[in-house]
Amino acid sequence: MRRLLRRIGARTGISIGLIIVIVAVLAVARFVDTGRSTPSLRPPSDGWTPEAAADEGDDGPIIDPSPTYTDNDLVVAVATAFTAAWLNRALPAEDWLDGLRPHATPSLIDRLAGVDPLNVPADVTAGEARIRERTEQHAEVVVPIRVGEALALGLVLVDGQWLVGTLDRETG
Amino acid sequence: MSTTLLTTPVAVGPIRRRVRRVVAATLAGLTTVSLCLMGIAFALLSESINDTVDFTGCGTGELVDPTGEMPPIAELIEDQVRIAAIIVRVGQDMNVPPRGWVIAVATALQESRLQNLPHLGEANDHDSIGVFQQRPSQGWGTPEQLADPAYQARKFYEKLLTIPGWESLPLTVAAQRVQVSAFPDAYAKHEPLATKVVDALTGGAGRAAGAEAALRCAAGSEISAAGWTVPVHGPVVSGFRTPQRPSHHGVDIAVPHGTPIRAASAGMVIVAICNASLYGQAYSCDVDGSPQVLGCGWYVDIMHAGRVITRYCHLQSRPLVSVGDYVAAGDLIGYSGSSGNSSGPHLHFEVHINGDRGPTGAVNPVTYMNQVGAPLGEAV
Repeated sequence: MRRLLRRIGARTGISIGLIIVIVAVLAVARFVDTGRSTPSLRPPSDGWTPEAAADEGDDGPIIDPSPTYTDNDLVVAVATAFTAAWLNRALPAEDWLDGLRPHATPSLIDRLAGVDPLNVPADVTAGEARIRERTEQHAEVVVPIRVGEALALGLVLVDGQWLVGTLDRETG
Repeated sequence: MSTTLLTTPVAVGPIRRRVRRVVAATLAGLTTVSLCLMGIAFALLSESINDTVDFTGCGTGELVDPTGEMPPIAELIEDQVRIAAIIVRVGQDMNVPPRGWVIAVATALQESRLQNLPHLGEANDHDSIGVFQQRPSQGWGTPEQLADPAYQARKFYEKLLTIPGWESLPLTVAAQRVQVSAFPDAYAKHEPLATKVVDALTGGAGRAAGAEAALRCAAGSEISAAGWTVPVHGPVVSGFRTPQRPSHHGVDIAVPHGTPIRAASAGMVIVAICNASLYGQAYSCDVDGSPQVLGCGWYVDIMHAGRVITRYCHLQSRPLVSVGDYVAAGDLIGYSGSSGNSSGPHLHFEVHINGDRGPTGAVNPVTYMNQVGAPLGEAV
């Protein structure tokens, strides 16, 4: 009888051993997984430890979820003026570019250098300019130029002045 | 102990047999359960490995066969992928580095949606034809020559290669220098899809060093063929939306004060301000913050191709770039620090899609940067 109990005990022991192996495998799996997302926990040379970082909550920016802007009309006016100058495709290239200059960032003017105004596909707009997204100093404005086609302008507030910084075409 | 047991002769009786059956059944059950558990464990393991394996290839170096079987691309039909295959193959034959393939495919996506367009009569834009909408009257070739997509691709590359430093220019600038369009920023939005197509055709060449004709993964401060680079090398000490920090919409990269921070890709700076307050009062970003200070300190948001936004927080001093600046991948934008809600110097880095600067637009920067060939972490 005692032998029997010892035998059962041994088998139970083996079972327990197996369970320990499984738990160990799971633990290793978890550890390896965690190890991948945080490849190294070596602190940088000026003393900051990752433990300190883990105490922080969200260290991203605090952004007003429903901001109000008082200069939306100004944004639309600049987008409209830029579009009017851009549609002026009968002008010689230099004059066309000069017409855009007051409403655009220098880098956009650089990218428009050498463009043949005849490549502008329309003379007039097909609808009102509309603000799609905006932040304090950036606005995305869409201006329809043909059915199913619009200018997508990226405006930025630079030194108190709204300027068009990017010029894309959207269809559909 | 077990040795003694195993060597003990066994006298088999009815009770013992029953006990043995019970024990055997229990053992069998436990073995089954343990195998299942191990299976789950390994499934979990391999799943997380697959996440990275998908993004480890940087091109096989094999020549693309435009007449062979095309990989499926959700956004395109097979004929369009085949045109892309011709463009990539011509690039390979001309020994153009993989950044050129991405620029060419993105340009073709904008000009023709990867179709070899004939002259469309009244609706046609001047005498433009083909995949790149090249014009016979502007010296691109005869209409007969320009009927062949391989010829068109070769003419595109020939002009691209004449632009000094084209490999490190923003896609929008490089493509515009070749095409001179009235919509200069129309090409860049196709950079993500063009990269996906190039990756599918070549086994991940979008993640290769963009300026090297011999394919290898981009490393150090190199820019990938997809147009991305690592903003700063350092250990990722806090991940994206971890169980401990579910509202952490970016990753924290530990780097000492004053480490150069670089633009991860080309784009326009749309935010460059101090965002910090303490107990409801504005707080300086020119000094180290603390866990009590709210906000991300001196920070920069850059709007990239395809309305992807990257964010760089806790800079040590006023960013070196201003709103409206158009930066290239790898341009210096500021120095790391600990301004705002921060207990020590690090870069808090976020990636947003769909032009959405809020939490809903945030995606895991580790995954995103792996995909575009600029994996975060320490320099290797």
